[in-house]
Formats: sequence, structure tokens, C-alpha cells
Amino acid sequence: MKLKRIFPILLFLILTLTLSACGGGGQAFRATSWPGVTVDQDTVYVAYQQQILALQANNGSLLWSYPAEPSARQLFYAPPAVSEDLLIAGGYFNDLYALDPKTGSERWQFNTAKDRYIGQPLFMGDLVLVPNADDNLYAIDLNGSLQWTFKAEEALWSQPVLDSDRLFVASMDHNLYAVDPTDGSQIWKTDLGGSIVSSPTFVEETLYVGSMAKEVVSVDAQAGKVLWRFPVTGMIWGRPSYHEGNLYFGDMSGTIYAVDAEKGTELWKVEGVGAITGSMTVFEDGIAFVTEDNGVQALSFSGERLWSLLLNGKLYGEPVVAGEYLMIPVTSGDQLLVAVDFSGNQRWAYSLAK
Amino acid sequence: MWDAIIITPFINVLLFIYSLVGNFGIAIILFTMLIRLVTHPLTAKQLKGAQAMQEMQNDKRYLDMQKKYKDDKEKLAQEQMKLYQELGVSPFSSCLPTLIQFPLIIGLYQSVIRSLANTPIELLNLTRQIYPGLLNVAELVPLNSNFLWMDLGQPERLNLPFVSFGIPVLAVVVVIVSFMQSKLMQPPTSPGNEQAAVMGNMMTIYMPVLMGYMAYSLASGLALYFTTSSLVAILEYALMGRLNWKNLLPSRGSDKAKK
Repeated sequence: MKLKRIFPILLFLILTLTLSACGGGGQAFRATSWPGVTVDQDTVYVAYQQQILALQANNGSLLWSYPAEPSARQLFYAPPAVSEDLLIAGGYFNDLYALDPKTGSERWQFNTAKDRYIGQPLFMGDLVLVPNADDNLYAIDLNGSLQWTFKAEEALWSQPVLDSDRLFVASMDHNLYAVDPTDGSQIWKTDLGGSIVSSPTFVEETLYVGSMAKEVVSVDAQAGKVLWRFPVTGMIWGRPSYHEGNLYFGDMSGTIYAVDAEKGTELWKVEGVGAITGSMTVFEDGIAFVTEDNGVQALSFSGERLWSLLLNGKLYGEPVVAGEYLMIPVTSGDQLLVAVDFSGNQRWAYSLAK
Repeated sequence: MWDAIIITPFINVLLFIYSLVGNFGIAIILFTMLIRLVTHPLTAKQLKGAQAMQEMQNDKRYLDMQKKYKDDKEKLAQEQMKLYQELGVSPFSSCLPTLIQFPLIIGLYQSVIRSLANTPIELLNLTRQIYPGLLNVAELVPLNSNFLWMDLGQPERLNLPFVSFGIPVLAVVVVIVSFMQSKLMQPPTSPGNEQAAVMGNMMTIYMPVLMGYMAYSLASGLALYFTTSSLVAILEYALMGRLNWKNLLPSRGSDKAKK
């Protein structure tokens, strides 16, 4: 009789495990992204999985972690925003935290959002602007009180960009918005024909935006009028990088482009570098970028290959400059963050097991 | 391999339906119905096999051998095999179609989850699974995941102005529909097969609880799939005249068990 009662319970447990595994477990295990990296002076902040880490930029030593022990109720991937007194980090469980950037101690929480924080927040005077996947951009004061919201038609995955009197917000709903930073009201919006994963680049009254519609679009910042479109072969996940009149960007098909920012004409392209999900990082010798499977690479401003470094793991996002090093976030590898100098030599690495 | 054969085609069909109807909730419902329709011959075969097994278990010779060889399991098994052959019944005829259906059901479930990509890596993976000749990613993303009062990418809660907490309506519906499905589709118990009856009864409780918990905690798109799948299964059995309405009456069921 005992067996008769135990067997269904065992079967139930096996089914539970099977269905849970098929579904990817719970929300925590489904919600994945790459490490979010922010540099402030000599400290590197990394948001990855259940913790935010503060590392010393010159040697990778751990300064603090938040929470001190990993918690199953917290999940971080959005790059934090850092000011002198506050670090703002959004989580995948709809939670936003304000921390002391020197110690990692918690100051306050903001729990109004209804979805994940994927994009990096932005400090704007006495406010911090936080994009959320619930379609809202939240403007919160430095004590954690909501001041205004701007609602897009779909999720916001990227950091807004601030001009003196306008805020530019790119959305997964295909639109680029200009928003009044005093009250969050919409000034104009332009449909770019594809989801916009990254922030726009703002240079001299012009915005440059890459989208999943496989093109980079130049938009007049005053009225939102499209100035030119540059079609590419793959989807664009990163923001175009600007340097001395030229734009540099890569696409998912593995091609890097250099384009004249004013005219939208191609200057050169390098094919076959590997799938790119981030932006080009401009450093003194040229541009550096990461590819999903082919490591970190650098090209000169005229498109010649400078160096490459293969790392163990998948590389998404973009390198972040910290002093004389490039910080490379690593996903699914032994290391979480690798510091590479401008000649392509690895200087230190931080492993999760450390 | 699993992805190439099952998941990727399923995702593309699901998203193709979505591109036609423009609503992911309706796409999930139609896709679940389509898969049930495609696997209907297997369901019918499974039922036929189960019916044959049940008739055999009511056969006098079968009942006699249960008593005669109750202390000799090996001999009992031999005699049962002889009877299977004599009556032309295959003991695997009811479970083989189930085994074939199982990967399809898991595939359906996984394709719904993956299509609801709402993190960067999930979206990256999804865009790589879409057939470019069939669907345009730029037009498809982001998916409109709103259906009725639900965001299909989030656990469902109905917020009412006079209630301070969100009510998990769909999770409750999933429990009720799953319970009805288990009860209605449970075959009548043959004499001498009490172990199967106990197991069946316990599963009618455990499975709805499991489904309800998953519907409560995971994306509501899955809860919608669970509900549709159960309702279509009930309809499918009803059309084949295989529903046991008596199972929904607990008193009569327990009387019968006592006998």
C-alpha cells in the first residue's frame, strides 16, 4: 500500500522537475543577459546575475559587492549609473536600488515599475532617469520619489540621451522620441521601422540610431526628420560611435562600417569579424569591439586590423574604457571581466569563483 | 538537433500565425489547436489501445489468472502475454502514441516560452531562430504580448479597484480546467486494478496543483497555453465519446470503489 501512495508522489515530483526544466525553471533562470559594466574614475561596477560588484580598475581587486551574499530574489544586468554620491542599479525583478558607490550600502529602493530594468539609468541634475521594460521612463529624485513618467508604446531597453533642453529616448516600439526633461511630455516621435535596442548618438543637433530594421538612420534633433538612411546586412544592436566626423558601427552579420556622419556615405567596411551586439569603443588608436565568438578586436580609424584577443566565453555588449584599459564583459566563460590594454594584452581578469 | 527539428519550426509557425492575426494570445490558442489537430490520429490510436486493454482486463480469463497466479508473478506475466497475443492486444499500443506526442507537447510549451523573449539574450536567440524567408524580424519585434487584461510575458493578475491585491484568475482557471480534464478523461477502473485507480485519483489532484502553480508563477502566455490545451483535449475526447462524466460525481465514484 505504501508503494501505491509513494509512486504517484514520485511521479508528480518527476513531472514537476521535467516541466520546470522545460520552461527554463522560473523567471530567474529565464532572465538572462550579459554583464552591465560602468566605469567611474578608478572603479569598475559590474551588474551580473545576483550581485553588483565594485572592482578596482587598475588590478581588478574586489572593493564591495551588493548584496554581500548572492540573493535569489535579486538579478542584475543593466549597467548601473554612478554619480559622486549615488549608484543606481535596476534589477530583473522590477526593483531599483540606490547604493552608496563607495561602500555598496543600500540607501533606498524604488518599487513602482512593473517590468525589468534593462537599460542604464541617467543622472540629470537632481533627477535620475530610469528606462524600464514596462514602457515607462521614470524620473526619480535623489531620495527615490517619483517626479514624472514618460510612457512609450513598448519597452525601453536603452539609456536616454540628454541635450540641454531635450531628452531623446529610443524604444523597442520602433520610435525615437524627443521628450521635455522638465515634465516628461513628448515633443516629437519618429518611426524608424525597427526596434531600437541601444541609445541614439547625439552630435551637433543630429541623432544617429541603429535598429533591428538593419539600418542606421540620421535624424534631425529639432524636428525628428530623417536626414539619411544607411542600410546594412544585419540587425544593429549597438549605438553608432562618433569620432571626428565619422560614424563607426557593426551589425549581427559581422560587418564593421565607417560612414560619413554628415552625408551618410560609406567610407570603408570590414566583413567577417563575427556577430556584434554592442557598440564600437573609441580609444586613442582606433576602435575596439567584442564579437560573440571571436573575442575582442581592434581596428584603426581607417579600417586596418590592429589586434585581436580570443577569450574563453561569449562576448556581448561593448568594451568600456577605464583609464588605460578596456574592460571586457564575458558571458558563459570562466571570467566575468577582463582588462585589456590598448595593445590587446590581457592585464587582469576577475572570475566569479574568486 | 531538438531545436532544429521541433522548436525552431514550432516558433516559426507560431510567429507566422501571430503575423496573420496580430495578437499573441490568439496565436497561442490557434497554434495549440493546430498541434492538437495534427496529433489527433495519435490520440485516437492511444484511446483505441487503452480501450482494448480495458476490455481485456474485464475478460473472464484475465480475472481468473489474476486470482490463480497472484503469488507467482512470473507465471502471471507469461499467462498475460499469451492472452495479449490471443486477443491481438499490444500492451504498448496505448503508451506508444503518448510517447510520440510527449516531445511535441514539450516543444509546443518551449516554443511559447521562447517566443515571449523579453531579455536581450532571449531576443538574440529568437531572432536567430526565425526563418528570414518566412518572417520579417524587424516587423515582428516587439511582439504585442497583450491579451485581454494580461501581459502574456508576465505572470497574470487581475487588479480590481476594490481589491488590494491582484487576483490570479488564469491560475484558478488552469486548476479547474486541468482537474476537469483529469477527471473526465480518467478511464473507468477495472476490477483488480486498484493500484492504477489510486494512482489515477492522486494524479487528478497533483497535476492540476502543479499546472496551477506554474500558471501562477510563470508568464501568463503559458497559462493560456495550459488552458487551451486542456479545453481542446476535453473537446477532442468529447467528440470521440470518451468522456467519463460520472467521474465528476465524487459520491458515486467512491461507492463504486467500495464495491
